[in-house]
Amino acid sequence: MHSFAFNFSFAVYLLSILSYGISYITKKKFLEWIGLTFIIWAFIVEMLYIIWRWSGGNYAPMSNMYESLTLLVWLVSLLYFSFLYKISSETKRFPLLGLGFWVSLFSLVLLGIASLNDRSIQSLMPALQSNWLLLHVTTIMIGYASFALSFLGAGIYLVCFRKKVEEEKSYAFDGLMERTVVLGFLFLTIGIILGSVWANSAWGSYWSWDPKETWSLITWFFYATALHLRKSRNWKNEKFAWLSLAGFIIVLFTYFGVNYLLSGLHSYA
Amino acid sequence: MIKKLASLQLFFILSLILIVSMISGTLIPQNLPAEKVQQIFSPSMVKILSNLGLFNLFHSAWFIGLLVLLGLNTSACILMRIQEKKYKSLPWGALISHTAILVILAGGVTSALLAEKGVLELRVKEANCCVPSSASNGPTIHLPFQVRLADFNIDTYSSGQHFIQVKNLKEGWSESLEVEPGKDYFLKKSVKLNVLRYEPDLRVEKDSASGEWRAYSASSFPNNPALQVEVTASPTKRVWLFAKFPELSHLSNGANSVEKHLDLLYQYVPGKIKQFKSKIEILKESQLLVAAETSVNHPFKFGGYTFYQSGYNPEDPTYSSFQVVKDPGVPLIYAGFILLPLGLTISFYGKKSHPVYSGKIRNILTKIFSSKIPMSNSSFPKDFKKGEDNA
Repeated sequence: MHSFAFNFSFAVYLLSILSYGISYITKKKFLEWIGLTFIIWAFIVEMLYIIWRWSGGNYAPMSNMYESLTLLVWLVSLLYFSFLYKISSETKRFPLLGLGFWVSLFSLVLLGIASLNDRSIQSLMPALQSNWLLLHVTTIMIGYASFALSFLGAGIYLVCFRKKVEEEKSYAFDGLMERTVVLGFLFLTIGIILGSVWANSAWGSYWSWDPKETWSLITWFFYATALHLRKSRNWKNEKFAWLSLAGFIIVLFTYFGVNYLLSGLHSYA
Repeated sequence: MIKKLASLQLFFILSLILIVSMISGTLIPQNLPAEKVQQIFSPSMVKILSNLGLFNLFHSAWFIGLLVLLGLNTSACILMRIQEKKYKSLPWGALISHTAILVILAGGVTSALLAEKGVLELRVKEANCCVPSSASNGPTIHLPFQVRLADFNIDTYSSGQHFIQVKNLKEGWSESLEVEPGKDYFLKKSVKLNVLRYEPDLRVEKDSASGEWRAYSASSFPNNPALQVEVTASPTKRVWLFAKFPELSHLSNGANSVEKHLDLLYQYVPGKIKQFKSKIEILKESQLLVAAETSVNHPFKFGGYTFYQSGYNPEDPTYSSFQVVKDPGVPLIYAGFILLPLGLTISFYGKKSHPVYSGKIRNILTKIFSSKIPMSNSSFPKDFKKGEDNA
């Protein structure tokens, strides 16, 4: 199942990228829909894989880097579909359809990184044997997935709409950046809180200034500042896109960098 | 004065300084012994960093000062929001979320000033009421009762893994393999390895009646893991292999090798820890008040103190340690934890939020708060939107 799910998702994301690429060259819109269909297939297989792994290990598969990356890929697709539906139903058009190319490419890279980690179902260490694992990791990952979409939206905005602020698609991407940052910030806040409550119930300390905790707080402060700048200083469009890009770099360090470069309570993650 | 204190500019500056400080705090090793610090940095660097409080950054006066300033900034911002009558309606989301930050900071201050934290170390059948503080110079906690460790157990996912490396010094070959007790293994050049038995905590005693040596395990804990193997070469020989004492591969003569040119090296990898549990008893004047079991993620509470299972000693199966905590700041922290997401949700998805956040959540929140929140067209006052300096 490991190999099948992984290879299938990998192949389908590649096909999706191919469809979007050909669509871009030939200007045939229906190929973008085919690309989106491939992402839906990968999403379904990943969901089945997560369920299979959950039932096999008897715990929520979120205890190490491989499992959390698989969940992140799945959540990025889920949020992409949600925002695609939401913004399409509001604008009566599909301004975010092309974003699927970048979602596929991003997912492919994440799967590649996941493949470098141990895929076997491992037994849980005592501290992780808690329902807080499911709640804490899920909320944090929804936050990260949301920030990832804001990053992708920001990248497209800066490349395509930087000088075309009045275009309808530009509004859609600015709206996407704001909504994803807001959603990500809310879930990051809840995730940090749940992690803190868990730490208090496991170790009797709700905050230890562990590197992962500290970098989560750095991320939180950064996005809090970004949202204040947007609301009060009108840092929208290009300025907010730069903030989204910078914010996601901090997220990446919090997620990967801390695990590999700094030791602490989350070294297993 | 209060306007300056409530300014967003102050928040941005504070936020930036806090971010830079926290990054420094994760890059510079914290709370290390002086000797280790001197190994990492040059003496002049140690002096500079030490004077700046960067080796204990998160508890330094200036960092706490920054957090206090953040609290003042947030408080002033809340007061400004309430005082400014021209806005007619109160932005409940922002007020609740900002109040939550204050409550969390207040909880943190309460914990820092009033919390009692210590580590209680016990061995099975041992009792104590004095808990040394977790802080380096903190006072010892004197519990109004005694805590006795009735029993302690370590569960593992498996009994561990056994590896044997066989080296033939004469012929120059070696082979490593994972083995299981009760199984045979065929090696190069017709060498057969029969793994007879495993004893996790091997002891040897001489039977007084028969005068023969008897091998047995003193406990199920791998204090002295040993494998008895039979090597069929020329001649066949039975030996004990010790993971912790590789030089003693034979009970009777202490020879280093099975044969002159055949060496065996045994490595034991303990099973992964599944859980460790302590049975503890609370005693007062030798009277048993309560008996309970505690394990990681399942703390035990008594007399205002919480006991968290925190450690074990792989060398000593009778040892267990507990984090003992009495923290009056926790209720405040949890109150802030409830208020913060609530405030953010109202702020982002409530009736008064930005127009892009329409939908079901907004409708639900509108129904809940519509009677309490006066309606207005925008989430931010007009002059605020233009960039006035109020959060």
